[in-house]
Amino acid sequence: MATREAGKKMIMLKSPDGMEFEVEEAVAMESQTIRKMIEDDCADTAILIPNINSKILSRVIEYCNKHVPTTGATGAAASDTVAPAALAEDLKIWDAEFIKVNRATRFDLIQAASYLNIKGLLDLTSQTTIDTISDNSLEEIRSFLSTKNDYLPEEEQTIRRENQWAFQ
Amino acid sequence: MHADAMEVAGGKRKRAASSDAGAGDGTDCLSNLPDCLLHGILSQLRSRQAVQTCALSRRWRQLWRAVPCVDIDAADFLVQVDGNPTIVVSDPSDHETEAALARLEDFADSLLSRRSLSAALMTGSALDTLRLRIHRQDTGGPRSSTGTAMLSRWIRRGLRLSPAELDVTGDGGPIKLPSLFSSAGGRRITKLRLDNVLLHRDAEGLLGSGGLPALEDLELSNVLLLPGVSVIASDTLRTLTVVDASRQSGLRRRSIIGIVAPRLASLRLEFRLARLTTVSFTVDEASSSCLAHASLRVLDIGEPRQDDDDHDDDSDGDDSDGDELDQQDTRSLVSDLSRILGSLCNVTSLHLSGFDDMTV
Repeated sequence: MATREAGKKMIMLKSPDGMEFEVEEAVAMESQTIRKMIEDDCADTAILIPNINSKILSRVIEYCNKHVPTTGATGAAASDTVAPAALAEDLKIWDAEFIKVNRATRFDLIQAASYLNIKGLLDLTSQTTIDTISDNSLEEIRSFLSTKNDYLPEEEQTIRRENQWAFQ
Repeated sequence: MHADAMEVAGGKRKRAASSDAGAGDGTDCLSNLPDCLLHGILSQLRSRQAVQTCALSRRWRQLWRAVPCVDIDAADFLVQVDGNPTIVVSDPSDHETEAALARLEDFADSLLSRRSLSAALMTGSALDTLRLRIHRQDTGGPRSSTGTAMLSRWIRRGLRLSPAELDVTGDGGPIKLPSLFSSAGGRRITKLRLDNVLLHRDAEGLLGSGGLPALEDLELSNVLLLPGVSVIASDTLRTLTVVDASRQSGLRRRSIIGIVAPRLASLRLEFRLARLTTVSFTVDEASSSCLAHASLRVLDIGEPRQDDDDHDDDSDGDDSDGDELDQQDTRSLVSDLSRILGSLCNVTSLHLSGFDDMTV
């Protein structure tokens, strides 16, 4: 996955199904959870990532690899020079391609992003869901998300009455 | 209440892994996510829709009550006028608008009072974001006192929920901020964004020293600061953005706003030239020590000249052209700009744009 370059510290990430991924420390530190482990010296050279299988973990690493800041200033108040803007545009296209996955994978990625605390990935993976929900009727949302309405009809009536102010 | 994201995400994993095989296999993956993640997703929606999810299924019934964002937007209560969704608060005279206004008020008042109730029962349920939006009056008609009064009331009530971020978009009318913040509600605010509102002289109590003790990020967008607001002072402020795209210079009197913020790291000013003749900024010496990024932008450049009914035309800044900006204005402009630039001695990244045509 990651090519070893001189002077770059590598970290081994292990998934619970026994796969090992060698990544640059900087890439792994895109995850605030891992960053904290490294900074607190809890990480030796290998970190076991519980609960994230190799398939999802490899996608997460793919994302971090792409999003790790390249050396140089990408700090706040970025300037409007051509290069960063083009870079951002490139990332956006890449993200759009990256997130073309089935729903189950997407929700796995949401959980992984949350556990590993990778804000960009969490935002990206949640966005499709947010788009699905926003500006659609409850019926549409249920059908998009396969949510079963387990209310009894009179129960649902009560809920709607209780919160009448949001439905009128 | 605040489940640890790591634990919850961990505990739920098994099921998700087993459903990897199916594509859109009819499993309701979303409802199986832990509360904290669903709250995160719901906090990206406007509150009206977030509350409505309570009718989806039992899983969703109570989720809205602890969403860390309250986002009340008048756009959700739009009335159709001539086929276009239009501003709610501009003309409270006709019946439809009146009804929409009533629904909006009902919604906001109910939501805020229910959230206050939940907040009183649960600890650690302080808001991340309080976002309030009523619509701009592009019509140029008289500002409605209704909109202003509503906004001020919602801010007052919303602040009881101790938001960390307050984002208010108004209709250009005056809002009374200082009295609202004098309660403890402003102590957690790290980010304040005000758009299209008018601030009175007493806003200085808020923008001045100690007004918002945790403020790090301040954005004033098309905010009309009445004379008397002469200082933006904060010991915690790191980012300051003042954008003003309005065409009118608004005021005839010049006001100079001093920025006193020793931790300020980033400063962005965007103005039309017409506005710069009435508002100017100074950065005091102590404030420039951390200031690494600065961006000054004149917004007039690259736009077609418009001769609308505004007496303040877009000037492209060429002083020989000078039909609206007279010589004296231009001179003071240039001296203002030089003064701002002069105070940015430690800036490592300076971005200037829109100055192409200026003969400085």
